[in-house]
Amino acid sequence: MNKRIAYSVTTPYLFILPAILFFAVFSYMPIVESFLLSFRKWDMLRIQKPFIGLKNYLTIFKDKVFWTSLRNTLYFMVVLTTMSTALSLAIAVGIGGIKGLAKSFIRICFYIPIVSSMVAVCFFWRILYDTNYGIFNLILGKVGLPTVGWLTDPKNTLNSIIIMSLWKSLGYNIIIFLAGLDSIPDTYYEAARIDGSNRATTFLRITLPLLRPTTLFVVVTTVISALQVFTEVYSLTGLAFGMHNIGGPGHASRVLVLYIYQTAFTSLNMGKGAAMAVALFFIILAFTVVQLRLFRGKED
Amino acid sequence: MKKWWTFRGFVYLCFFVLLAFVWLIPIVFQVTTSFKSLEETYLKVQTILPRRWTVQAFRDAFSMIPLVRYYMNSLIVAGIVTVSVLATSTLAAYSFAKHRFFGKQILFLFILATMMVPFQVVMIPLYIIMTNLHLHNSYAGLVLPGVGSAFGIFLMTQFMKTIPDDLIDAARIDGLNEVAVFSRIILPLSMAATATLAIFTFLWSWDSFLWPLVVTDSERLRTIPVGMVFFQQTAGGYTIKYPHVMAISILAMFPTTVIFLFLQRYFVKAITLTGIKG
Repeated sequence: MNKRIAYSVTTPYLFILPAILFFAVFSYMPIVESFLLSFRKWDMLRIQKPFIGLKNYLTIFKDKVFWTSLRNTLYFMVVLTTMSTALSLAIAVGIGGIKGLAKSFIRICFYIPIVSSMVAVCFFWRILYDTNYGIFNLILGKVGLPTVGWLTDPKNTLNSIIIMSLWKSLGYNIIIFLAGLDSIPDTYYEAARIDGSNRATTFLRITLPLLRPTTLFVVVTTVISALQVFTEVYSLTGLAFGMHNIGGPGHASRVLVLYIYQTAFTSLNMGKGAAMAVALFFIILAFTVVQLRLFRGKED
Repeated sequence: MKKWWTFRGFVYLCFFVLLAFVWLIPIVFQVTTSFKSLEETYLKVQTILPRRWTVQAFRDAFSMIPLVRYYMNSLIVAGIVTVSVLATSTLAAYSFAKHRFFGKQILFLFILATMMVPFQVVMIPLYIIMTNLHLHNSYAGLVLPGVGSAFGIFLMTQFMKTIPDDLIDAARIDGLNEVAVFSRIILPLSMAATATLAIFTFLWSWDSFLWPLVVTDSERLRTIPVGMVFFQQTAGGYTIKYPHVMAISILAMFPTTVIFLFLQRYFVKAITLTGIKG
């Protein structure tokens, strides 16, 4: 094909110019700046930003709270990703064949939480979790079980936040799995039926393998967003314990992004905050690469 | 397929309808509590449904918290962000999908690579940039980091690739310049994807919390999420008014839920389009 080009050489560049400018100024410049800042000491108030080498990174390494918040973040990520992937897959497979009014009802129930603003969700979940008035303790009381400090007991805080996140985000993964299921040709299932395959075998031998790209996408996106968890923890614990105890009780629900935010904007330690942000970047990168490798490895 | 008429099919259907209902319980509790009176929520024995229905909490909500102001702020920010994302994304996507030029692959990668970088990495320098430009505590500061979207460019590029080249060539032969081709051929033909991107961007922007929290400290500029959190933190974390908190959260969720109910089809398509292509 030898097409004559009907536009001037500069035209395509003009169309992409706004986007390129945007990403240069609001993505690449700050990324570079973040790396540079992580080698400096700065409290935002002074003009000088003395270069201190790797000292910020050493401080993080020795900081117990950093490790606690990293552990909390990883716990949050592992539990949420496992539960969300398994549940959304099971539900998508289960409701895939349901038609009519029931279909609309089921889907709306799972989709409304996704479109609700996270802070609004935290607002009313804080009350659902209330020790005295909350519905969970109301139900436990009716059944005759002892009530639970859903947020106030440090053993439960992070788990309660995970349950709320699961409730809010599950529908998103269900939609993706439903789309993945739709893309599997019916002929495969017909062939399986003719061969006398039962439901379990069909699921294990046909559905699951063919859903691998979809599952990969769900796992990777859930992991990435879980590692960046912030709003849930900030508003739910802020609402429950007041703004000076966000991430509490103690450090029970302190997660990495929250600790970055507090280090940079409450303690005004910009260098250390930037160093932790850089660390977070590499953690996310590492997880993404490992997962892509794992899933690709199975295909060969 | 007649499996739904069997007993097993019926049990199966009931199970999932029930499960979906369990998912709805928090919202049901939110709505019923918001219609209770404050006194009722202090009683020893609680019922799910209010003994006496009242809209007092909703009425009070507007005087307890400058909700209208916060709505306006959220609407302004989400509105400008959405329009800007649509503009930058469709323009860039037209080039990436339909033009041949030097450095196309690298520039496309240059943009897509930013999707890998979590916002927290750029947050601190962005805040410093905004402060240096005296844009913190301004609408510009709230909006600027959101006017471009790698996701949007990717989505629109994938979509515009499916528009037949012949259509564009025909238009060029008829003497349309590139701007006219873009606005009269490309844009109308990508309405479906554009609508999808618009809904997504609006929802995302409406929900965004960390950046507005960082870049504003003036009450005047608070968006709904930030305003709500500050309200609760300052106005008594100890004596919580249950019906009022529920009413405020309903009011905050209202716009996006309505948008969703009307545009459900596009919304689901948005997630599937990006989910599968991603």
